[in-house]
Amino acid sequence: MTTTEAPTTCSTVSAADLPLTIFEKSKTGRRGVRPPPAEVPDVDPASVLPKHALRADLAELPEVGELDAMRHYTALSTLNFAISNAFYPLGSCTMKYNPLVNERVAALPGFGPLHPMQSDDQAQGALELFWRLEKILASIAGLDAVSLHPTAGAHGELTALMCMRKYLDENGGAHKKVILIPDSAHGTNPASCTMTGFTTRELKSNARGRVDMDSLEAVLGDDVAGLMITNPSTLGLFEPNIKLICEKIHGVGGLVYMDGANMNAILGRTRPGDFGVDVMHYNLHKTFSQPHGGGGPGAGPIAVTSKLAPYLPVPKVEKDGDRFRIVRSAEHSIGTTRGFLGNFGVVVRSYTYIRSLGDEGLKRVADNAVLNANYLRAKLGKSYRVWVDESCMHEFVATAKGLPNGIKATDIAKRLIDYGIHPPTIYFPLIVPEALMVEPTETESKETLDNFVRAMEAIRAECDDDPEMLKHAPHTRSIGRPDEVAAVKNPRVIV
Amino acid sequence: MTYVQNTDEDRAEMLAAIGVASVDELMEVIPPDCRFTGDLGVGRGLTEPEITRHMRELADKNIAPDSHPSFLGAGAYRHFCPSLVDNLVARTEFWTAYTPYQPEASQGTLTTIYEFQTLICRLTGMEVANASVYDGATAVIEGVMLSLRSVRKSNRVIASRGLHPDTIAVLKTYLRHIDVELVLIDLVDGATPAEAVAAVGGEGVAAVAVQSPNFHGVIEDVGALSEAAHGLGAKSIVSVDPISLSVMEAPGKLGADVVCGEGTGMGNEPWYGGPGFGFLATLMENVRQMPARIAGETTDHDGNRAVVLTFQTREQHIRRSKATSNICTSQQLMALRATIWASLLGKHGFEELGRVNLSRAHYAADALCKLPGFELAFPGQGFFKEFCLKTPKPAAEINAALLEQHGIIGGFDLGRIDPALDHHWLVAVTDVNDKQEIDALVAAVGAL
Repeated sequence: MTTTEAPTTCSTVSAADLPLTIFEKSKTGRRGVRPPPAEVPDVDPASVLPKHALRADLAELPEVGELDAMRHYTALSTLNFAISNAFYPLGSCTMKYNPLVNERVAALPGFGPLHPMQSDDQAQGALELFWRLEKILASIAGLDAVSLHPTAGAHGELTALMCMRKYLDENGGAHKKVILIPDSAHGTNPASCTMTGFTTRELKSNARGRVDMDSLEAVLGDDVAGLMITNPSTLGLFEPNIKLICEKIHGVGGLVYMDGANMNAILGRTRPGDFGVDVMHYNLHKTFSQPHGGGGPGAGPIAVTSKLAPYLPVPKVEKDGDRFRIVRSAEHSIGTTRGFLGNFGVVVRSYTYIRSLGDEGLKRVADNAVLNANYLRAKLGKSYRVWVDESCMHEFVATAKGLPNGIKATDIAKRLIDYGIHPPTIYFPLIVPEALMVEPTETESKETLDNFVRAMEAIRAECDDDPEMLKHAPHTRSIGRPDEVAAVKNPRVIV
Repeated sequence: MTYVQNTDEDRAEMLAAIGVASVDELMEVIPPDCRFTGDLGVGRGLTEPEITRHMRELADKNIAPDSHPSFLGAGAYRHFCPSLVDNLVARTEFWTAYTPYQPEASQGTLTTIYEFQTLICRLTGMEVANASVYDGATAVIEGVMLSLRSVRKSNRVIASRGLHPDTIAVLKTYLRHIDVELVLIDLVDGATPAEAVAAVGGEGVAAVAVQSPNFHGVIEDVGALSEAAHGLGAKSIVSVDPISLSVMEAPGKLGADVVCGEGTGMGNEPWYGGPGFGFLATLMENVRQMPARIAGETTDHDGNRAVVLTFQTREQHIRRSKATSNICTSQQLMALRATIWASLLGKHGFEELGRVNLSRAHYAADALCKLPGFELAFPGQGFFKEFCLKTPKPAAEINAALLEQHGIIGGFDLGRIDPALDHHWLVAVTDVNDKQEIDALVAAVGAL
């Protein structure tokens, strides 16, 4: 935490130290964990399976002992940066503390073993949890109905776009095919549009990183099905014209979709439904503390207005008196976009988190996320150029453009690793050259933020004093910069 | 509760550094007519003992297979999981890490993805797997979309009715939006007839998707179905239970182009349907059409071995509207569990586990079929760990009585999918159902 001088020499890695995969540690005849005995007469597969289905050769799984497997995965874990060992100012990702009480609660035996095909009567607690979290998420969004079906943020986008399509088709908007997307949007937005049969039209941002209202006027037309907007934006800026923008989209019969990746900044301070949004997704793994797990799992619930509610996917949960049940088909529903009801384990954790915080705690999240981001903006703005240097929300974007000696954003990022800090998101949003996107989240202490500032200032000095060292950073990890071109040219995707 | 660490003193210093008087002043970027000053209705924050009690009360409202013997499968299966899996995956360096976009800070996660891909390919006989997809149902649709991109001018997809009902539902939902026709093939004697696939004929078929064992537990003739697919110029997509690949042939050796499935049974609990993970594997010729993350081996500038995310130009963060898929999130932690699980069982333990499943399922089927009125629905067909029985009374009645009188969670009542099948009962028997449980089930059913 106190280190502001990072080592510059790489520890020597000999050939013998090269990390081997578990497959390469296999030794014929070695055994790990044994399954239970059958206890019933052993059945020879050849006697009961069709001949064509018989496996000729056993799958070459590793043959390793339990202790060596333990050391192997323990050693691998130590090669990771994680929230538990490093500050993660990773813009757009909301890398906040993942409370342990969520994990303890999720381990209750009534949750994990519960089977998705059990009857509703046997899963009343689970269904009640779905229902409760839906109500809370609707309230936070200022919208009327929620589906916890989608598995991830992009899956929420996809599911919501399908709802929009069906609503438009059934309400005189079948000819509407165009979704407007600001040039600062996440890549998932246009990709989701393609998968749901929409075409996209890009909206230019103005010099202040906001939607350019003239550009919006120019593309508005009867073919516009809707707008996908991230607010606060990926530049961490609240869209001042959001109400007017929503009105203009509604004016041509379109719907407004909000990418809720940045909800952390506005919890309890403003509600998308109140400023004109028709439909949005949440990322439970960003805003509501579901751990990122090295890339997943997450959940991407969607919230909608009452006019879109009939189109939400099935299965969905309904309350019937004091009982809960799953509705498996509904007249206007788009249908099903994944197996089973939803990512229940994620629901358990996020619900626990929200109830632990309560109303006041949620507002405190937003307030401190915004405070921490602005503090870093003010401090870092002395040594780096902030792209739009005005009051931000939960994050801001600085640029490495113009740094001396040809130093790039990636050099800054890699060097931060030597200081024990995970790099910010780099080269995103695309509209900022050499972008360094910084999101501290509310759970970091001032000491951690100050340490980050010192590291960034030290690196800024290194840009002048030792640029070559910077261009070869990091120097303290198990590997230096990998050759990503070679990985594509000579692909080795399995051991 | 709060997880915020800023003290009042910190806040004052930070506000001074920013040059504003209060956080409210920072929040003024939200236009006045957009501000919310109301109550969200969540109530006061709960302390750890309070929230734990509340959640325990909710958990106790569930009747979970942990405390009740269960023979329910139908796409979600419980299997033995070594304690070391829990212990290792509980390492915060795994579960609190982000997606490994910075390889120097993520060699742990990247190496486990590389191992996972290898595991999936060795099981399925494929050449490349991705880092996981949402679940088994979305794995099939991703395989279908991969095929639609690979097979020129394709606009039709053939799918077996033996696929999991959720998978068929997902296919319908996705394909409707991209104007692709879905042709469903009826089962004959519980299996998908290859002749019926061939008979579809015509142009523009991207893929033939089947599941084996299928939803009724029946083992499909993957070789014949793949041949029929290839005869139409289509890709053969096979959805499998990975644990069946302990004793069953790798679909890659039977002509499949894409092998996918729900992998949750490997080291994961069912979680009432999620989070689990799906896997998707194919041949290298299709790698640029793959969705989602792929890890690959390379070296760093000093020649050290390294693992990175590769073929990223396929992905949404680079290609945007031209990406192979919108997928960003994987099911990494669940896939990690599967990787460790499979490594601990190992080559021979995995086969032994498969034989335990096979043996117990056949023992249970034999015993149940000795009861009056019970018989295999598809006696000529092979099965692995799940089988469909015809029952003398509605399966729903059997299940209700089993739970009420014996505390046993019975098999899946197929009448829930198709009312005409209300006397059909899908029974799953795995390594978590020991002989005592099976005997208790048979005795209980016999006593009904």
